[in-house]
Amino acid sequence: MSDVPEAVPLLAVDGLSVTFGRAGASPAVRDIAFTLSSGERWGLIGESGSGKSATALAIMGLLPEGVHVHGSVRWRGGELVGLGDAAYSRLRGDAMTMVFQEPMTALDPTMTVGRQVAEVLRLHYVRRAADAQRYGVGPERIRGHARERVLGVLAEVGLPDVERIADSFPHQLSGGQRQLVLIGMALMNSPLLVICDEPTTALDVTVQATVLRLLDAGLSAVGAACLFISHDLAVVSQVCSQVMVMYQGRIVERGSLAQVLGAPAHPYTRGLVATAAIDAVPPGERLPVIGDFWAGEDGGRDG
Amino acid sequence: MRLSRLLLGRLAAFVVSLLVASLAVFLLLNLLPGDVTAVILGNNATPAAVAHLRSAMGLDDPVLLRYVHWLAGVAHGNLGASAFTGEPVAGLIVPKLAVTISLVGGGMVLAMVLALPAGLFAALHRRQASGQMVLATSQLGMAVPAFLAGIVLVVVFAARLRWLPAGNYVPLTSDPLDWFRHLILPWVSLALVQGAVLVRYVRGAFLDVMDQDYMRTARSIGWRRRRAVWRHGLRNAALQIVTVLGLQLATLFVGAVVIENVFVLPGLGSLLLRSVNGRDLPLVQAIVLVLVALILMINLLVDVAYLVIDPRLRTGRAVVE
Repeated sequence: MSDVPEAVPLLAVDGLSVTFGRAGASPAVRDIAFTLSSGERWGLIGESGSGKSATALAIMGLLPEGVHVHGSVRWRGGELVGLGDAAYSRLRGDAMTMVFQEPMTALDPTMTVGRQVAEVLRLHYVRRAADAQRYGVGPERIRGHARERVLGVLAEVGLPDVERIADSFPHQLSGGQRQLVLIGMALMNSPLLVICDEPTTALDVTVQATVLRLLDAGLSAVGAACLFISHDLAVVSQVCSQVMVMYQGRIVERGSLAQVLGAPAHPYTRGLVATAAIDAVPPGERLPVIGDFWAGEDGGRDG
Repeated sequence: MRLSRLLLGRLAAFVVSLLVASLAVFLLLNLLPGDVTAVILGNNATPAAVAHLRSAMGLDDPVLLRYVHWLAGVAHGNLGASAFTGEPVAGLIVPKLAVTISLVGGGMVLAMVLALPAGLFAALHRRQASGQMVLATSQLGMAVPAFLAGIVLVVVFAARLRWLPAGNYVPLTSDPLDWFRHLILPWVSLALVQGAVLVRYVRGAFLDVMDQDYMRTARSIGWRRRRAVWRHGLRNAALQIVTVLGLQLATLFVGAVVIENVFVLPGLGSLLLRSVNGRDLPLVQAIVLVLVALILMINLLVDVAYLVIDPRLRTGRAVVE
């Protein structure tokens, strides 16, 4: 990190648009811009189809073939849009990692969990020679120590009985355990940025709280920045201190969590805050819906 | 161990299916109107002669008793005797079976060698012209009937260029090189058609696998696109491909009769057609039983392959709480 001047942000997204299907089709992400500095944690909130996941995949370079990406995504000053697979692959899983929404299908069902976690290490071990120097062993030795590192990382994310977990196949673990394994994989190489795309949406509420707590601790331990995507303000507030609100492909509001929650400016955000606070609704009255907050405002709805 | 118990279970299921199938084959063929004595003695036989032969052959016994006798014979390797020549049926079938297994086995290996890389290529290049070309070529291969492919190959490589023999079979045991040379054209014509079908399934299996969440995870930890397919796609795609291979093999043991005829190969399919035409009931019965056993064996192999490939089938659920 020391070779990059302080002024250059970790991630700078500028004029980013993502269009699925034919060029000229309605874009999923429209001309968005934001920056993320080292160690910052931003929530990216919005309803389904607002372009959150497309934004995340565009940053990771994991959009399917035939999706059009325009604009700029700069990683520590270097352009990522149009970067080749080889160069991108060196970044992915090492400095920039991602946790996805659906833990049940995110691991290869035919391979033990331990081997899949070890891959994260193996794929980047040569380039982590600096690491090896710090530990006083050669890269080959790091490879030899893969098993210990795997068990270590599984323990760090709070999994019990790590030996057995490492030797299990994914179908033998619960959804929460699988997501913790995936979080472990994302944190293993001490990344600079972790992108989380609704990592707890598929989990039940009690498991969700545990996973969020362990994710929060893990991010702090490695000092990684985080872009945390969710449709749930309560979830975002457990991990992030700042939040961006995305609506129909645009970022419509951003600021500190307190500021956005306390004085939401955009009607969608106002609706979101009110629907999250259902405790405030007197018993017997109808619960608010997002649409209630659009009265007289057509600005954001035109598409 | 759990795996060996599962394997034993599959084996037991195989034996039971084989028994049920043998009963079905026996009953079906023996309850058909007309019997083997008419074939042996001809249409002008006297009723007395027919009755005499019937009792001599045990045909007056209850059908289940006859089944048990037949089964006991089969268990000792005695599949019965041909109604015409009186030769033991087992001796007729075994050499033909060797021909068919050589033809079908080699043809399918060649089909896989062609289709697996081509299908993978077509999946990886699904949006490029090159990938579409593979698909179009396979369409062409499927449209050409196997016998036509065979005839064209014979005309070009045997009649014109005289590189390879046009047909006939040389047993592997008498001259391996000649066995190989005689089978090249049959293998190629079988592989072209079967391979063309297989390419599409292989492509589909890989496309399916490439869309799975775990492939996205693999890419997100730093696997490059193709290496991710190799490392995490192969086993998962193999599950689907093995199913299709099993089906193709099973249909080919009889289906190869077309190729057998083009290349004058004395295979099992040809023998079955001849014995059906001649109404040689004991022979038909034995061939059908052998075919059923072969198909059940292929199913058993496919099941075992599933167990090897997919840990979900061989291990229990939730170990860690």
